[in-house]
Amino acid sequence: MSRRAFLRFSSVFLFSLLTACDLLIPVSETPPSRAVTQAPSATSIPFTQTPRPTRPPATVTQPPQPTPTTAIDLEVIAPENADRLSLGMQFDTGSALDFAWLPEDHGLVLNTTEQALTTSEHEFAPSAFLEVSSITQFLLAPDGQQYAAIQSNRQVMLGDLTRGITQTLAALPGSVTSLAFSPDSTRLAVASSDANQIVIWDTRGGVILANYTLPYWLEDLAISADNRLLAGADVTQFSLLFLDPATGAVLRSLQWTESASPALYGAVLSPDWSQVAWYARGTVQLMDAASGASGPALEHEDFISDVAWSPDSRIIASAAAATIAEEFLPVVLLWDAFSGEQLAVLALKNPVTQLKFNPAGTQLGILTSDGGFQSWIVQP
Amino acid sequence: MDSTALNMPLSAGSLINRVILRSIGWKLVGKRPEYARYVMVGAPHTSNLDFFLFLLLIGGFDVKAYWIGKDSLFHGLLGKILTGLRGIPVNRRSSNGFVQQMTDVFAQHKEMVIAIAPEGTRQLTKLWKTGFYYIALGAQVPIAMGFLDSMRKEVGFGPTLMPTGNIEADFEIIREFYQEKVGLNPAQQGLVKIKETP
Repeated sequence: MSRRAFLRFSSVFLFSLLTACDLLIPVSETPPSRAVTQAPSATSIPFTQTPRPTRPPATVTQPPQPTPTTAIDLEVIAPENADRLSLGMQFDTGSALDFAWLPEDHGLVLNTTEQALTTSEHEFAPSAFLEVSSITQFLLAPDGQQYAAIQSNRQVMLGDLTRGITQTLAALPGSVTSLAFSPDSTRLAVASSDANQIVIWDTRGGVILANYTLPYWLEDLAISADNRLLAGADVTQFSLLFLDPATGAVLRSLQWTESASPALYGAVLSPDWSQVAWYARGTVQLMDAASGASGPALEHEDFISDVAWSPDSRIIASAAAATIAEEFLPVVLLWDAFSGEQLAVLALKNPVTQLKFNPAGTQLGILTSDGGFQSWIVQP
Repeated sequence: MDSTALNMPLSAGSLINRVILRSIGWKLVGKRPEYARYVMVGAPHTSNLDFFLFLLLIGGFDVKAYWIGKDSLFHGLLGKILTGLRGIPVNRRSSNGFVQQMTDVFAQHKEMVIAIAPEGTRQLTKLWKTGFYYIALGAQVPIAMGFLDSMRKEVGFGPTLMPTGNIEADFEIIREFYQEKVGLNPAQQGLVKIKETP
């Protein structure tokens, strides 16, 4: 061994020793490659399940009186492409954490710190309160009628906008990281951390269709239109996994390896499952979901907080931060999902907490950290 | 000057890191920033190997640099490991916003170095991310210009800059320093440039 080679070897050894002792190594930004087909251990684990069937509780409570609308000034500083977007409505929700669009522009469901309620999309005028509180996550099913509510991060409940909570499905041992309805609304998949558990229910009777653990936890769950695939992002490995929903076996995976961020923020499939939007730090990277070929990279100034696909999979909205008039402000950007062209920029006063298109894809709803809601009409 | 405990002699770990650098033909240049709290820029970032050189850089100067991570990673055993590895969890959907959360982190610590790669990716990128600048501006801490230069086989610290709020003027100083630095993979190295302010 030459002196130079010996020095190199010694360096690597000492370096390894040093870093092991000092715990200096941050998370590797390059994940190890994952085999295309992989069968993780799928183990059923117990949890508390409420006996079925659960009688629907009393019908949804009607509010004693409408809450007065409080218009707030959500300043739009830089609409760069005004012909693509026009402000629909803006109002103060008070303390909404999350929202969902009702179908056919029939209003919104708002999840506030106090309760979930439905309201007009034009003003904060609650039309009904759902009898459930302390909801940490709320998801309206594609049928616009059923919903899943996660109470205190662990309790999974199924409800109906007309009848309220209909079933308490389970109390999971780990915090819920993601939930998804199938496009036909007949399945509800829930992923939780700690135990890395996946549970899938048949929403028509609350029957458990699958219950297993994986070697990792998943985020950004999605169920394919034929109910034969469950997709989820393993953010520590920058992977999007396509699982057999019944067993948890990995049938296929995609990876994004070019970010400098220590962790993937998310990997969101387009509604038609043709593209994946990976995002971390200041980049949204589009990828063809079938071939894994990289598409356009949507470069932001920094700090992407959310990404939303339009229902037709043609437009992506992203929330990030950018320098506008010498201030670093929260912004929402619209992008052409095929060309990567930036279509519009909105500057806001407060950080965006939720970003969602309505089911028709004609409006983009934005919820901000001060509880403000605004809808933007998106021109085709 | 916001400086404490900065004049301590170099540790054994620092010497080992310097020996390692020297053994692979690289050298450590510049001076450790004379601040207890600052944002450390790591650039140019064009290769996986940058990471190891970065570790040798901070190890060689005895800098305890922290990094920013997604909050959902910081739970259970993994969370404890990541915290031990100097990860700082940030909720990107927090009502505080990203910059405010990092400003709060600086406010809570007498000594804090947050390392950030302004390019945000190893791929060729047209523009630098500006978050590092606004974190430093919000926290009122300087920006230390950590670098590597594959032409000269050097890693080290360049000048420090206290952000003024005029990002375009300040970035001229940053650009002037970094424009001559050559990454390990020059083909992936973009211009030192930020988006023009509308």
